[in-house]
Amino acid sequence: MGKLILRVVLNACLSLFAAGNLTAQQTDDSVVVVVSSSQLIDALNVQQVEDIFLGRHYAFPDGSQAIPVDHPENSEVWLKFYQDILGHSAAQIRSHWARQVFTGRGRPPQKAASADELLQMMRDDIRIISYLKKTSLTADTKVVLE
Amino acid sequence: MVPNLQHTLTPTRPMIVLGALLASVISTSAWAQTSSFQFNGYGTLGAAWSDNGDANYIPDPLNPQGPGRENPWEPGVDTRFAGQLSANIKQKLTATAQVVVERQFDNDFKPVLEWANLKYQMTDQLFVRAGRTLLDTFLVSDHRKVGYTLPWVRPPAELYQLVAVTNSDGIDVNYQFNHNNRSYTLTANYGRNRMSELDGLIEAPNLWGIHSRMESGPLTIKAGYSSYKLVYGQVGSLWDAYRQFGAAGESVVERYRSRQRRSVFTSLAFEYNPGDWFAMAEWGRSDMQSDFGARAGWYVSSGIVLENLTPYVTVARANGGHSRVTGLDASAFSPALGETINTLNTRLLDIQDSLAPRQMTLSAGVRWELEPGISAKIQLDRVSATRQSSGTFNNLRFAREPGSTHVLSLTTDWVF
Repeated sequence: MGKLILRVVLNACLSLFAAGNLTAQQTDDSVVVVVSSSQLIDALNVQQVEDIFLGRHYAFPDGSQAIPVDHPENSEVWLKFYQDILGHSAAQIRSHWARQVFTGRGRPPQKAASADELLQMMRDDIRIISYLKKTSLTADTKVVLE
Repeated sequence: MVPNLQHTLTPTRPMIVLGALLASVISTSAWAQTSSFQFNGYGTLGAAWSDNGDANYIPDPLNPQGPGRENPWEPGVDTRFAGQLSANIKQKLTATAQVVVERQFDNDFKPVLEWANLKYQMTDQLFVRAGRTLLDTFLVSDHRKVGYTLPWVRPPAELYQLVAVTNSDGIDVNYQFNHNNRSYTLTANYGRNRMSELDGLIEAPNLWGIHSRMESGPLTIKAGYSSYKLVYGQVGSLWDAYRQFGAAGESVVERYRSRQRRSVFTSLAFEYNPGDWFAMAEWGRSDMQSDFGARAGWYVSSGIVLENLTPYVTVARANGGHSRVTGLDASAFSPALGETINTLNTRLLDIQDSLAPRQMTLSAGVRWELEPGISAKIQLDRVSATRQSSGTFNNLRFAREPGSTHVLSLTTDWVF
């Protein structure tokens, strides 16, 4: 009986610890908007990022070309970017691109399969703008919007 | 108007040329490394029910079958399937072709080329398209068939049926720029619409329009002006009949005919959509510039987003035209001609009636987002024709008295 109580208490402590860890991890997992560290741009506002990612205006404030790159649709980082940073639901984004595609106005951004692939693309092309978990940031990237 | 149901599938010469052009650029570019193809599609599966046993409800004048007198349930009002192929031929040159299978004016379900154009992106802000495009007449005109992108089952008929011409074979220019965190889009189009599928019922041998759109965060404001030269082929025989009556008949033709004149359409639209609710309002006025008169339509719609459900309400109204016509005065002719004159005047009144339905609709519905890319909707409309009009009904048991009607619509929409 005593052993059982001990096990229950231990389990409870373990799960509390795990839950605490999870919270800490979620904070680290917050998503930020990034460009190549060679870019001259230091900061963008939400409207500017939205204009680039919704295809309204493929340019940075200095007029140079901006190429948005997405993560896979409905992935954790994709959802966080569109919901938490831009404030749009997945349905709104899908509807926006359906309107653009079926009226011949534009196509959704190209996609990177993973953070590693994205980082490689950013090293190759300074015009790329995307978003990453804070934990995935490298020296090649520069945060322009948190 | 009684449509001539003899249908011809013969494409017009410009469409053949354009088709050949598209086919050749797509096939040659298939060999090029730079080309990239993209296939997308959308569709709607729907059924509409009406409690009116005396008339058929026809929300789209180009789709002649609706629920009511013949069948209380009608699947063909909203059901359609569409596929689109686009190809990046060169960095700045894109070809797009979209085919929609839906019920056509001759009652058959069959494919029609909805979009077929070449788009050249001259600068980041400016593109030019040549070929077939959908007109940007109303707020949702150019994507009104993509049910998934709409908050309702279909755009309010009171406004959207004001302009029968929905696409143009020609060119359009699209200029977009940003100023003070606002996005401005200016478009201009010039072209024509042979509407061969209508078999000469109506043609627009030339048309042009300018439209402007301002987007600022959740706010969109759109204003448009278009001018159409319209030829109502079926009306020609009626004019010929009137002319048999000499100067008096000629004067009827002169007052009602629009052949030498243009139909002018002006519109204003507003949308506010911060994400968790929306409000939309649109107004339009079409002036036929003949004794058939001007007509106007408007709607106001609002909805709230509750997780995956978006309930909405809409009020829509169409006004204008006339409830009577001034045809030939039978008393000025011999009594033997009385019956013929009466028939002609009745036909003129029928045309007046079909050109300007007066009607009000109250709608309530819910859009359910099943998953991104798939939605389902249920909508209940209460449709009332007003002021001696047949409204958007056909096959009426009692002319100009369709009565108050309830319409229930169920749809599921998808995009991929």
